[in-house]
Amino acid sequence: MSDAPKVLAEPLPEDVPGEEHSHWLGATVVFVVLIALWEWACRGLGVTPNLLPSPSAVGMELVGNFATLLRHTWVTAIELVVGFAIATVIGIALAILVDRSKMLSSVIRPYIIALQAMPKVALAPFFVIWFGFGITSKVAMAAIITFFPIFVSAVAGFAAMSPRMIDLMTVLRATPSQIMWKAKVPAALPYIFAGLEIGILLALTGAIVGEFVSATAGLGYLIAIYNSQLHTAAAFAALVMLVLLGVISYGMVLAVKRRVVFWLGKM
Amino acid sequence: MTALISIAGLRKEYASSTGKVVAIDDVSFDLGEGEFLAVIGPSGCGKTTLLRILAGLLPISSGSATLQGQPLTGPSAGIGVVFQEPVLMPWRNVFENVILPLELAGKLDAPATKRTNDLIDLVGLADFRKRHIWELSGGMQQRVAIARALVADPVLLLMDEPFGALDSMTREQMNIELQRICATTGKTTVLVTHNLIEAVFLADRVLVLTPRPASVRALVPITLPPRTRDSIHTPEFGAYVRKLDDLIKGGAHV
Ligand SMILES: Nc1ncnc2c1ncn2[C@@H]1O[C@H](COP(=O)(O)OP(=O)(O)OP(=O)(O)O)[C@@H](O)[C@H]1O
Ligand SMILES: [Mg+2]
Repeated sequence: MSDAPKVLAEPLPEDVPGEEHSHWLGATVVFVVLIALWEWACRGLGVTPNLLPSPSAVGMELVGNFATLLRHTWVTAIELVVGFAIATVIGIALAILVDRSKMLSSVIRPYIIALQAMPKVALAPFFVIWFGFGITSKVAMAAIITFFPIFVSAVAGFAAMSPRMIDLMTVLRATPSQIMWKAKVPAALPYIFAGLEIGILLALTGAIVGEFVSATAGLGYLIAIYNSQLHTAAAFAALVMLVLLGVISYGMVLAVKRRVVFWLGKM
Repeated sequence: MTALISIAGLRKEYASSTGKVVAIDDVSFDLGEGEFLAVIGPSGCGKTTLLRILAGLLPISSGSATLQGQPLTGPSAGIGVVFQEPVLMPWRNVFENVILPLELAGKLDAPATKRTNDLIDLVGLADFRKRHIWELSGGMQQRVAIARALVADPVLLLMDEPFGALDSMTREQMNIELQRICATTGKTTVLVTHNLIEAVFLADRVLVLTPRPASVRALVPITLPPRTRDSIHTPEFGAYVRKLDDLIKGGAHV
């Protein structure tokens, strides 16, 4: 009996069979067909490899150059994770403070809006001046571009808390911090995770933009270098690693969300 | 009977965009310890407003409202509230939802666990302690809310149409259970309801309010012996229901 709820807490079993399977199958078929068409276009139509390398050429680069690719992927991954983590902590902490204090909210809100309205990418050259050519300027870029969706969604989540729940906590004479940690934060988690989902992808964009501007390592650096050498197949291989990094990190956020916000869509 | 609640000349105005709305005009009544009061009245007359005042969620405009001799200026200790919706936390299971009031009061000890389990048993959810709340029916969720309202052993239980969303059969079942719970715990209770049968079935006295702004149309004592499922069909029971119906509709005779 005590085991039953655990089983029920697992991700919906009824979603998995049959249908999901056939989606995967379809996607795989489409993928194979597209790759085959691409290969055929490159060979049959004689497209210059510098313009569009064939899948087989990209595949060869992926295998032959794997150690280098992996080293640079690792650098970008660290920038991504550290930037994302910083943005998450600061974004949620600031949202909590803004929710706690009307005064603070009205003081910092204009700055937040001004910063949000500005294309953060324009800050990249400044970050190089302030934080150097190394990893720090990319982490800063990833963090600032990620901060906004997380902050905004957390603020929206706290504001969306049902007035009935506030009534309940008030009647139970909960302290402000009990209301925050036992009611508002859990109730806002679906919103916060919506922000994290957008944020993880923006963090990757931020890291790559930082690397484009000036860097000594990372997938963005690699793509820029290979492109300048007209080594397009190698640049494509780096792009493939970038896609994998994005998919894996996004998938991890989704997996964490499914564990943490296990009640999502149930109520 | 000592008065637990004393309301005198109570008036409540809301400030709204179109000016002042008087929700409660002149309401006075006393509620003794252990008494069960049902509050009925037409929709929008001010029943929820009255209950929220008793819960300490709303300040009054004039008059006086006291609980145990103390003016009601904010949420007092020892009040349990059941809202119209269950207001449960989906990230907590049944047990964790029921124990919430004790947890907030910093009393997470063995007696608290025992009391929580006892109350879950009392509302008939013994097999559902560790269930997620979305695995419960609407009536079961409302029973979780009732258990939660009782767990900190409040001196006063306030309920705002707790069974409004339930079908009549489930509602009847819940009434019988609530009657049993109140008999077991001897709680002073204020129940807002639209359902006259529910009012006569459960209450010692029924407060009938006029259309907005609410004032007291009548305070009807129900002098029936403890009611059972069968007493609903007795002529005496029916006479009370008809009397309350007349009072709500026109108040032709008071
Ligand atoms: N926050 C508010 N601001 C302004 N007016 C309000 C507010 N809350 C309630 N009112 C008004 O006060 C009156 C009484 O409302 P209340 O919710 O107490 O009625 P009720 O008797 O509980 O109605 P129902 O049976 O439909 O639940 C209504 O006319 C309503 O419009
Ligand atoms: Mg109401």
